[in-house]
Parts: sequence; structure tokens; C-alpha cells
Amino acid sequence: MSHIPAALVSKVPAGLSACSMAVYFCCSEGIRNHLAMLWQAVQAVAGHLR
Amino acid sequence: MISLLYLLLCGWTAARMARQFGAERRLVATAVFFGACILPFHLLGVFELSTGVRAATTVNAALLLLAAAPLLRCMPSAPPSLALPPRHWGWLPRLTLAVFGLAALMLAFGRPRGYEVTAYHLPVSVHLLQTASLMAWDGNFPHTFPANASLLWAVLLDGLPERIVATANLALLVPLVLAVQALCRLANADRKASLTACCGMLGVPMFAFSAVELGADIGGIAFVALAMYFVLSPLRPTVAMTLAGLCMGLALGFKSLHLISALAIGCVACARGSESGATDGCRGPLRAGDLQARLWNAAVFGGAALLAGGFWMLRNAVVLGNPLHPVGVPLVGGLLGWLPAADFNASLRGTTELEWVDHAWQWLVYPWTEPQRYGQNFKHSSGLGAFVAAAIPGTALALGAAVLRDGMQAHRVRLALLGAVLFIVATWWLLGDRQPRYVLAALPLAMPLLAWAVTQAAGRWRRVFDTGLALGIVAMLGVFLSRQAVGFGDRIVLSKQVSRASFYEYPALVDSLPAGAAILNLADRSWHYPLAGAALSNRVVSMPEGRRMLGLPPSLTAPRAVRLLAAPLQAAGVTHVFAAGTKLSHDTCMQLDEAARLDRNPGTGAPLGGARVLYAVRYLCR
Repeated sequence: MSHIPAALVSKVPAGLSACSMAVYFCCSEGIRNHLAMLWQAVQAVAGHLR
Repeated sequence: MISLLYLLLCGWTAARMARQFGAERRLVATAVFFGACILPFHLLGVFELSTGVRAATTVNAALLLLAAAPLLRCMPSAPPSLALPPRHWGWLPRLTLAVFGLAALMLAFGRPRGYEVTAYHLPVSVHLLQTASLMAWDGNFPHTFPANASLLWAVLLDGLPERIVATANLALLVPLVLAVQALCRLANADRKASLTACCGMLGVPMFAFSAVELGADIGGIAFVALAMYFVLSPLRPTVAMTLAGLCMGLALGFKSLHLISALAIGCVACARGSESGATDGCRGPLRAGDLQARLWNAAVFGGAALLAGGFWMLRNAVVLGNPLHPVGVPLVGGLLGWLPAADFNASLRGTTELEWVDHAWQWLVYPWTEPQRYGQNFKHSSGLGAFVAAAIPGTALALGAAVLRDGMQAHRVRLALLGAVLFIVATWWLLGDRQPRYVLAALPLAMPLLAWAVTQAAGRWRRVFDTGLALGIVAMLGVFLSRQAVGFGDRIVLSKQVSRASFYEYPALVDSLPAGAAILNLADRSWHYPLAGAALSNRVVSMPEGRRMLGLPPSLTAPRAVRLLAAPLQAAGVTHVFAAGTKLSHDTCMQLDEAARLDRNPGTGAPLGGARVLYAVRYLCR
């Protein structure tokens, strides 16, 4: 089955992986909630220091 | 002190056994070390089953190992494989190591934590330390699970400060990483890609957050990965299958769920046949005697797995009448009487996935969306992270295209790994109890496929792959470390919860109860371990057992209101009752005196949800 382009093994997966990660950072509730938690923590520390 | 000597003895045993091997020496030593730690206790458990004598102590386990020492001294030694010159690790592994080092440091300021950890993993350890018995001490079904993890923690708690033991699960990442790196080698991945795969796996939230709790997931998965390595390794089949079976048995002793992985790896063991090592490349047609070799592989693998992991099943079969207690055995269970435990509600399985998804199809996009009903997206049982999301499509495409291009024979090792991964995922789906962590054993087996896919990329595309994956790893390590730092800052730095009582937020009197104190826990199950006290000397009657004693319907949820009855409590030797929000009343044959109360956060003064109250019990009737 040599008609399979070599790029499908050696090039496209890298690009696909990068795109998939971009989708992850746009869609992940986990990242969104984690950033919100960090922001709350920063505010709490700031309040504590005041 | 005896614990440290025992660990040294296990290390010596492992070194002696492993010196027969060349290239696989490190992995063999790892497998044998943990086998030497755990299996003597299983032997003592079998002794207890057959004689009724409680003997499961570290001293007795050490004596058993010492008895085997003369055999080990006669073992032949193979020349070590050529030592490779030290090579640069690269910044990513160093960063990963630094992150986990910092996490361990922060962890050592606190105490062991995690819901299941304090509800039953550590209570099993404490029970072992207090009674030298490996029998399930009450009918509470989580206490009947295989308990290799609890055994390890008991050995450590016997000789090390609790704070240090709190970090112990991080050590189980070492066999996991060694196994994945070795699998990457077998899958023809280069060194840099293998290291990237290992770092990425460690950054997966479910791995990272599991490693900072004293649960059973990391250990089980590490030994599944090691078993797969030995099955595929270039060792002679009988040796390979024995070592693989040992690791599989150890994995089963951490979690019986790995029966699924055992089936997958057993199939790969059968497929290996008689050749030494599973390498990619052309292979001739099925040879005469190949079937016999395959059956031999399966028999050695299964036999070794049963010997190394069968104790817990044997115990449950003898004591509880079902080797897989509390789970019922499908099809033949009815005939053999292997039915689910009375308090095990299997009907809830179908709804557990609702914690993560509203509809089953949403699992298909879970790696990219990571929903969690209560906002706990990243914890020991939630979250795959950016690295996995990036890895899935690229790896699938590269492997699929390569198999179509080269044919299946050229990718035998990688297809064996893929087959095991798909088997585990498909079984997880079919069984219906769809918690993400129950499928986690597939991930270390998938990492070599990713590492191979990365290795196929060259030049600019390799840089794209490496950079993208590194970004994902750094992001997820950042998530892990920042969560640990927030917890540390909150509980240790600001709230100064450094003593055991303040860390677990219980009345300090629990730590100074007289010898022989027995506390009936009527609060949530997770109070069980804290109530053992700083010296782990209090006997704790578990909440589900308390419900049974008081005639309440079986449940893992704490009762809201309880009428205490003197007779069963006195029979069980209960001296104290602990409650957190439960309304208590009692019969006329007993009196409750409030001994200690904690109803406000000692750091902030804020009122707690339910007052934590310790009552001393006085029995008035004879």
C-alpha cells in the first residue's frame, strides 16, 4: 500500500497535534475553572496582605 | 527502624535476583523489589487463613525474606549491559522532576490526604499495624478490596513519620516511568520522544494528583505497564512471562479492576508465541509447536499472576464466599454463589458517569472539554490535560497511515500496544461504570505510540511536534504545581494547620485518648483515618459498621440522626463516639459525656458546617 503519502506519517500528525492542543485550550472547562481558581487565590492573598 | 531494615532487605533481594539479567536489570530489580515488599505479607496472610494465627508483621515478613536469602546467594550473575555514557536529559525532564520535588516538599508539611485514602486505604493499614491481621475486619465492602497499597503504607507508617509517608506514592511513579520508557524503546521511539512521553504522562492531572494521595491507582497502573514490558521484552519467553505474571499479580493486588488489563496483556502474551522478544519486522507463517508455545506463555503468565495476586481473591473466597467480593461475577456468579455484596449497590454504576458528562457520547470529546459537575475538573479522578488532547489525533493518524503503508507485520509491537489500549477502553465502556480513572491503565500503554509518532517526524515538523507537546506539558505541570501551591499556602502558610489535629480539623483530645480507646465513627467515612490519632493507636469502628450495629439500613453515607443502643456498643468495646452534625439520642443504659468539641475553624474562627464532637460513653446497665 505504498500510495499512502509519507507526509501522513511524518508531517501531518505534528500539525494535527498542534491544532488539537489549540482546540483544547479553547474548549477545556478544566483550564477555565483552574484560571478562575488561581484568580480567586490571588485576590484572597491580596486581601490578606491589605 | 524495622521498616527501614525490611526495605533494605527487599533492595538486597532485588539486586541479587536482578544480577542474572543484562539490559533489563533495572526493571527486573524494580519488579522484584516490590514483590519482595508485598509477597511475604501474602504468605503470612495465607498462614492466617489456614491457622487463624495473626502474624502479618514486618518482622515476620523480614524473617521470610531472610529464609530465602541462601537461595539468592547461589544465583548466577550475568555481566551487566554496557554502561552508556551519561547523556543530557534536556530541560523538560528536569522541569518535571523539579515540579514533583517541590510538590513532595509541600506535601511533607501536611498529612496523608484524599477521600478514599482516609476512608479505607489507610484505615486498612492502621488495622494491619494494630492487629497483624490481613482479614477484612468488618463487612464494610471497601475494606475487602485487594490492599497491596495499604500493605506498603503500613510498612512505611511502621517506621517513618506520617509526613514522609504522605509523599510515598510519588515513589511509585519511578516504576511507572521506567516501564513506559522501556516500552517506548520497544516501540522504536527515540530517546527524546520517550522522555517527552514520560513527562507528558506525569503531567496528566489524574496521574499527578493521584501521586500526591496514598491511593492504589498509581501502583496498579505502574505494574500493568511493567507487565506489558516484560511480555514484549527480548527475554526468553518463560522468564519474560514469569516476570510479567509477577507484575500483573502485583497490579491486581493494588486494584482488582486490572483483571481487564490482565486479559489484554494475556492476549498479547499468547500472541507472542515461542520467539525470543517481540521485534518489528517480517515473521514467517505459524510454525509447528507455536500453539503449544502460546498456551505455555498464557499458562506461565496466568500462573505467576495468580501466585502474586491471588491472595486477596483467596481470602475473599474463603472468608466472604466470593473471590471478587464485593462485585458479583457475571454469568457463573449465580451458579457458584459469587454474588454482589449486600451493601454494594451496582445499580449506581450506570449513573456514576453523570459526574463528568450528561450523555455517554460526550466521552468522545472529554479529552478536549473535561467537564466535571462540581467544578473539580482536575483531581485524582478527573482531567486528562492538554498533552493527551494533543497526542490523540496525531498518534492515531501516524500509526493508521503507517500500518496501511507498511502492513501489520511491520508494526507488531505497536499494534500489540494499540490492541491492549483499545481492549481496556472498550471494556471500560461496556462495563458501564464510566469513571475516567478506571481507564487510566490504557494511557502508559499508549505513550510509546505517541513517542513513536513523534520519532517519525523530522526537521521542521519534528520541532512543531516537540514544541507543541512541550507547551502542553508545561501548562499541565503548571496546573498541578499551582494547585499544590494554593493548597499549601491556604492550609500550611496562612491557616498554620501543621499539627495533625489542625490539619484534619478534629478535636485535639483524639490524639491523647488512653490505650484501648475505641471510637465509633458516626461521621463521614473519611474521618476514619484521622480518628486513629497521632500514634495510630485508637481503634475506630467504621461508620458503615456502626450503621449495621445500630440496625440502620446499609449505606456509605453518614446517618443524619441516630439512636444509640448500649448493648451492641458495649459488646463492640466502644469507649467514645465521634459525630459531625449527626443528631444523637440514646437508650437509658448509656450516657454520653461531651469530651471535646470543635465547631469553629481554629485558624479563621469561622463556624464549621457541623460541629465535630467527641463523646465519652458510660454504660449504666450490666
